[in-house]
Amino acid sequence: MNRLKLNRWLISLLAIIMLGLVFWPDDYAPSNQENVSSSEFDYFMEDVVIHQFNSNGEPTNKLIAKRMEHSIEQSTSKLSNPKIVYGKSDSGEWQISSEKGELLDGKIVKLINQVNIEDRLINKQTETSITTKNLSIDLEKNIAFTENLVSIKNPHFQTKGTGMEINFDQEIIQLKSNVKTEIYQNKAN
Amino acid sequence: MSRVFLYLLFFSLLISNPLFSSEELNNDNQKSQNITLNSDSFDLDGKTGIFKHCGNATLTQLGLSIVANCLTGKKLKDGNYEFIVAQGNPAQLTQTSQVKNETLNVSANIIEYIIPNQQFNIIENAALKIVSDKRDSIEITANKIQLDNKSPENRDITATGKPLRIELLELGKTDLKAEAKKLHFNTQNSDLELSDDVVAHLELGQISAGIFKYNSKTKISSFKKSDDQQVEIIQKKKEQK
Repeated sequence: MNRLKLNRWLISLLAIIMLGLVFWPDDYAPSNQENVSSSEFDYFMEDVVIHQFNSNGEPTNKLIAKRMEHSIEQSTSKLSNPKIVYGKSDSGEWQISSEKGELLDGKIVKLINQVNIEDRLINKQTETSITTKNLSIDLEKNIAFTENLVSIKNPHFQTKGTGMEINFDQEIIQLKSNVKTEIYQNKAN
Repeated sequence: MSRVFLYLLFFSLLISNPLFSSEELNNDNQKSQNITLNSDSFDLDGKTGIFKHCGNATLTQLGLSIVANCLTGKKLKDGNYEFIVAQGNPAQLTQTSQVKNETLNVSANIIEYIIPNQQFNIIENAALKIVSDKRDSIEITANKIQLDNKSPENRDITATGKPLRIELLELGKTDLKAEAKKLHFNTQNSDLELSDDVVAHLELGQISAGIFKYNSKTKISSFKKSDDQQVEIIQKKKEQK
């Protein structure tokens, strides 16, 4: 009798352990994968690079993201650590980055919150850096725009203003209103 | 004993002949001050580094201020900004010197400010006025005026074009009125030289000449002919009361 009871107890314990193993959270699975239910996106990509070319087959820009989750319902993709790179005529490049963003219809990138734009020359330090918030980039027209405060920093001057448009084809930066520039004077002059 | 004497001599020479005059220090102080620009809009060319401030554009730097429609900055190869072009209808510049209690007022369609040399090129409908102690003043209108600020007390002015007019005022009264095609004036030594079709209006009468030299401090003047201009005096009899 006692032996039968012991067997029942052992079987029950084994069943509890098995249930625990089945439903115990998996520590090794990516945490962000779990946070999004499968109904929110139809596919995702990690460490993705999207290259865009013009009608002549020349590269215009590339979109790099740590993770891209595509939603079929809204035709948008959520981007983690997105970075957009445009080549410059002086063999340098513009690097535009933020912590998160969205890709709308594969045409418009919306960078959310703090956005950093760096004018980088290859093998050289950043010459000009621009900071703003909530920047949109039209990947077809190669234009970036925001209505927020903008700060442009350079070793020779600093400019602040409200509202900005950057044309990456023409390499022109425009500030829309309330602009103030301070030109630093080289004491050696 | 002789060594002590030499030390004293050295220090007395050092005190009497400072390495930098106050003028040079003041000019260097102006050059080393940061320049502030304000405007409604701003364009920066990423290829050339040329920037353009447009719409109610203002520039300020120590005692200098410029008001214009647009201010354009161009830079040197080392990245420092070499000069700023002010465009307006007209653009206006004011510079006050506390050293000499003097105010410079300039207006023109284009004012170029060459920062390292502290030089102004004043182009199209150019007008310049230097008022010193609110009593003595110089007024020049020309097609182009170049103002070289060697120091607040030593300004070198050259002007060209027609009509070119100069008026020197002393204690609020006209000291000299003249027209010419070329002008050179130095504010430190008060030497004025006018050339090409000179017409000077003096107490003596209206004098035409090739070259006219005048010193507003000593009041000494000289007239010379040129290849196509004889020295001529036209005198009008004063009306008898």
